[in-house]
Amino acid sequence: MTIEPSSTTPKSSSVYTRFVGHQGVMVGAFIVLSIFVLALFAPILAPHDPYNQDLLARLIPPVWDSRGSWEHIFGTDHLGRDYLSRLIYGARISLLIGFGAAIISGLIGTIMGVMAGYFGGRVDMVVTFLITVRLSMPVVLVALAVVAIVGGSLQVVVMVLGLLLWDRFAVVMRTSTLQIRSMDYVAASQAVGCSTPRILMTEIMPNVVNNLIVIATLEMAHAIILEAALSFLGLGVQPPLPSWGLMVSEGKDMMLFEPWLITIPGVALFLLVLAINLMGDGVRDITAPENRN
Amino acid sequence: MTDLMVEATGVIKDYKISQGLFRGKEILRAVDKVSLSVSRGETLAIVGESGCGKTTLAKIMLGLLEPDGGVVKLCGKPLNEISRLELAKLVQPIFQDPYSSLNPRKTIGSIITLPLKVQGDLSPETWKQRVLTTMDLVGLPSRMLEQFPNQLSGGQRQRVAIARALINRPKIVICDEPTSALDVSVQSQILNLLNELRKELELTYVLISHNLAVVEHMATRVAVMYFGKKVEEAETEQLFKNPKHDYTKTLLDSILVPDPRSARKNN
Ligand SMILES: Nc1ncnc2c1ncn2[C@@H]1O[C@H](COP(=O)(O)OP(=O)(O)O)[C@@H](O)[C@H]1O
Ligand SMILES: [Mg+2]
Repeated sequence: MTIEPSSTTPKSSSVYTRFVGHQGVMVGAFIVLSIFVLALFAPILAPHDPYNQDLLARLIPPVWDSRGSWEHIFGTDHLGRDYLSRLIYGARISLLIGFGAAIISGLIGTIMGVMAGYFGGRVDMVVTFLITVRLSMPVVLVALAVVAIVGGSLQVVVMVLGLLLWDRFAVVMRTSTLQIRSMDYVAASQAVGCSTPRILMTEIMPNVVNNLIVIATLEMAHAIILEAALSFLGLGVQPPLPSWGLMVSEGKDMMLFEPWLITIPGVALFLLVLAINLMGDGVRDITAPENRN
Repeated sequence: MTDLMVEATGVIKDYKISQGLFRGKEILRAVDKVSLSVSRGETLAIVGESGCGKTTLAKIMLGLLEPDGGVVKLCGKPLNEISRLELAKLVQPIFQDPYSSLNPRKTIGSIITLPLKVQGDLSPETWKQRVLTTMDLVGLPSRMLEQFPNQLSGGQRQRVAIARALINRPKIVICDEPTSALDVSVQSQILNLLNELRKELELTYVLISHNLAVVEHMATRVAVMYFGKKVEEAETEQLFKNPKHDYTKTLLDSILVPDPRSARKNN
């Protein structure tokens, strides 16, 4: 019995080499990792106590200003708190909100979307209805209303965002599950006797997980920006916690004369969101099975 | 103990096609009161043009689709009385498109091991040996164990699908156009392999095809389907010599013409 020659070379480039070869991912991963390290080691890395007020040292400009000093590299805020230390501690809040909201909404949306796509019929009708209901609610307004009623705190913001941002997960997971479900390998694994949970975990999930990661990064960035917006409006994380959104909010009154109060946390937010999105795009490029060769 | 491996009686399958949100649903009868029987060691071919319900019938016989009417018995036992794992050891499919029948995220080794894992009746130490034996049986080199489906050619992929179907030694194999997605040069290799395996493992085949040359080469009996109905069934030789139904005649005329010019002269 003869064997046709392989259509491609059997040598496979590993996910690792493709990961390293992808510039966007590397830049994104570097920034996210740096911010993560800052957040993790905040007590060691922050030069001052972020809550310590010094009314004699209020609104000191950053070091690059002629009036600045190395004592407070990024200056101080209107209460004399060291801005760099607040920024470093603020990274904890942003990452916590991003990951927390993405995990909660990812769980809800993935379960709903995969069920709808796999089982179809009634289940799909119910899920599609819920998605429509959710899409007809303006996120910011609902979040504002809920936080205004329940009261703002870190936990409330994570929960509210987690319970609001599952729609894109559900839509994307539903579509990709629908597509994978019609593949013959799903029918083959049914014929081989696999149980439904097993098919979902070993045949469906591995083939939709790259989409899941891409949406997760988008929603993580989305949640971080929403937290900043809520905090800016005074309905997110409560002072004196140093959230980046809250820092922008507290600096807005002095925007004209002390613009660094807004630009520094603003740039930090921008960098984090950009880096997360770069990672998401890269993961999508890298994990596509067509790229394995 | 009966020698009837597959016995379908009056099988019906309707698809409800939604016309849009607020409009009604139209019913499409994909399989219309089809009865078939296949005895041990036979190869029953089901022929008919695309869309006549062959795949739907195959999925019903595999227990992947619930029929809307009629009964399917395998080895004398109604399908709905056979447990999931028992059914998997009785009947296995080989699908048309080997590009969609293998999970792109799994290695060849884990694809072929899956049936053993699911049945869970053997000690795991023997799995690898059984996988290698089966790969050898279908003509796959052992170095492919760790490769992924997209590193294989169409013919090699189809061999993987055959290995997965046969590793638990089923009694019945339902092949749904097993070669129509393959290069012509590879088609005969796969068909010969299927024929050899049938003799070696004493398999019973249901072979779905719209290629009458394939059918003549492989089948002992042929059932002809037309718009969901079985219109004719006969021994292969008899059907090719003496087709009874008009549709079968058109089918034979349209395909078994080695030289179109001579055919036109004859008409
Ligand atoms: N899931 C489905 N939903 C609705 N209609 C279907 C579905 N699957 C198949 N059909 C229809 O049923 C008929 C028979 O299809 P099929 O069994 O795939 O035919 P064949 O395999 O002979 O080409 C076709 O008209 C097809 O459009
Ligand atoms: Mg078909």
